[in-house]
Amino acid sequence: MTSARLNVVAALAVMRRDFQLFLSYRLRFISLVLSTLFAVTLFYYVSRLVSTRQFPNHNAYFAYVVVGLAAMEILTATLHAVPTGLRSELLTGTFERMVVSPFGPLGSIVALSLFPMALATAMVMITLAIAALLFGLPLHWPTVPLVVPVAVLGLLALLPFAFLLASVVLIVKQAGSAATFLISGLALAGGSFFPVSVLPSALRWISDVQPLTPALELIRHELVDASISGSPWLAAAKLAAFTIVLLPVSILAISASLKVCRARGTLVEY
Amino acid sequence: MLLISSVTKRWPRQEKPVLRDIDLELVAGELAWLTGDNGAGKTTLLRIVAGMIAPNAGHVSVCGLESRSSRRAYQQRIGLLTAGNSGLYARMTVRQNLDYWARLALVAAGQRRARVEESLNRFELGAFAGRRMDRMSMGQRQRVRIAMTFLHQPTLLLLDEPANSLDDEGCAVLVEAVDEHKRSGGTALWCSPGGDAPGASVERRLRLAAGQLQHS
Repeated sequence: MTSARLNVVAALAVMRRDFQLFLSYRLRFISLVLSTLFAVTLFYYVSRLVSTRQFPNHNAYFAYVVVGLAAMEILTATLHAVPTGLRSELLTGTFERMVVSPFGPLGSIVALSLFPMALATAMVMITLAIAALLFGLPLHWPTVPLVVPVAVLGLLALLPFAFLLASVVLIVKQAGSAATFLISGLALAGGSFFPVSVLPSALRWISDVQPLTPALELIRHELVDASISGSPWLAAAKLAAFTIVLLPVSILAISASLKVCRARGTLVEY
Repeated sequence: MLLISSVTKRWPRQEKPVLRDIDLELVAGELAWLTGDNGAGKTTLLRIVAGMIAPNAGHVSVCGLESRSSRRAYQQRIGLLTAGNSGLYARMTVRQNLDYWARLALVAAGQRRARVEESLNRFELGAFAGRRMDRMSMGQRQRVRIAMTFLHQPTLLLLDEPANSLDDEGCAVLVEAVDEHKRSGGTALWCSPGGDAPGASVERRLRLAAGQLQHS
């Protein structure tokens, strides 16, 4: 068995373990589906009140906000689950095993993102299914399959933020509030629940320097045929650029944190 | 097998180093019994050897490998059992915990199942294989932790108070496993705050005091 294949097996083992732990709480999946149902229902009725220049009818805002809700699943999965998962490993002493394993702490931290991403993907599909089947979300079927690669690209572009937070967890041993702050900030500036055009111009630049805005624009374009500022290819290129630049930087940040913690002797402290 | 040369470790804002110029060489088939008062630096030394803590000065090599330059091969040769009862997933079964570790330890797919079964039998865990960790006693959990330490067949065992929570039978199983490890050419470093090794034949007796290693 090659080294690369053993690495994949080890990474999938972390994902499988997270799945086993998830399954061990029997009501967890049901409660997730129910909270998604409640959120979609809530915004369906909120959308009945929305009538503005940006949204010509109630259904236009509903289609807009459903994609925002789905994006929140992805944001939470990446930005919150990875650092809090690492924090939990530190508390239970299981990170120690990752550190001394031949697979190693860097690979293990990266692998911590796999199950949350898979779960987020499933929850996105459930969110869209609820919106389409129960509330008549008008899907643009010819481009719906393109949502999958776009969502993957969006996930990869957001993942570096999770790894950067994980590198912070290694040093300061907590990052829950930073993750919440970042998720709220991205949701605000990325156009999850309202168009970024309504933001004051002093804040609007934030929407251009993070990957959520192009990811949401692109997903809305492919899913419900929403208009997009500029070309879809430009939005995809922005996401690819964020990934190419930030992913290696975030991996380097984790490596640097591991090195600092080894020197200080704080690697498995909590 | 294990070579520790001039290892010094100093904690930030502490005047005296916790370890000062530690030298130790263990060859194949040796068991070293390391004692020292609480806080003497035994766990720190073990963690330095395990690659979890970087020393301020000095080098550690295992089978000629150094953690910094050959991390993966180095870690494959080390089996670390930390003190305490951490490192297990409470809501996973004994078998799931062992299988998970086998994968993280990069045990080849063709050998994984056999190694897990062998560990279950060797540490008399077969009857509990399907039981969740949070439904096991402390002694049973310690057996699982020990089984994980041996599972990937390391050449150097680093055991930090391994007999904690074990009953007489558990201690006997542990000692037998360590003896077998030595017979097959492995080396072990067993840390304990004091007392004597529970039945294992010890080749080297060491004591950490005031940051220095005393050989007896």
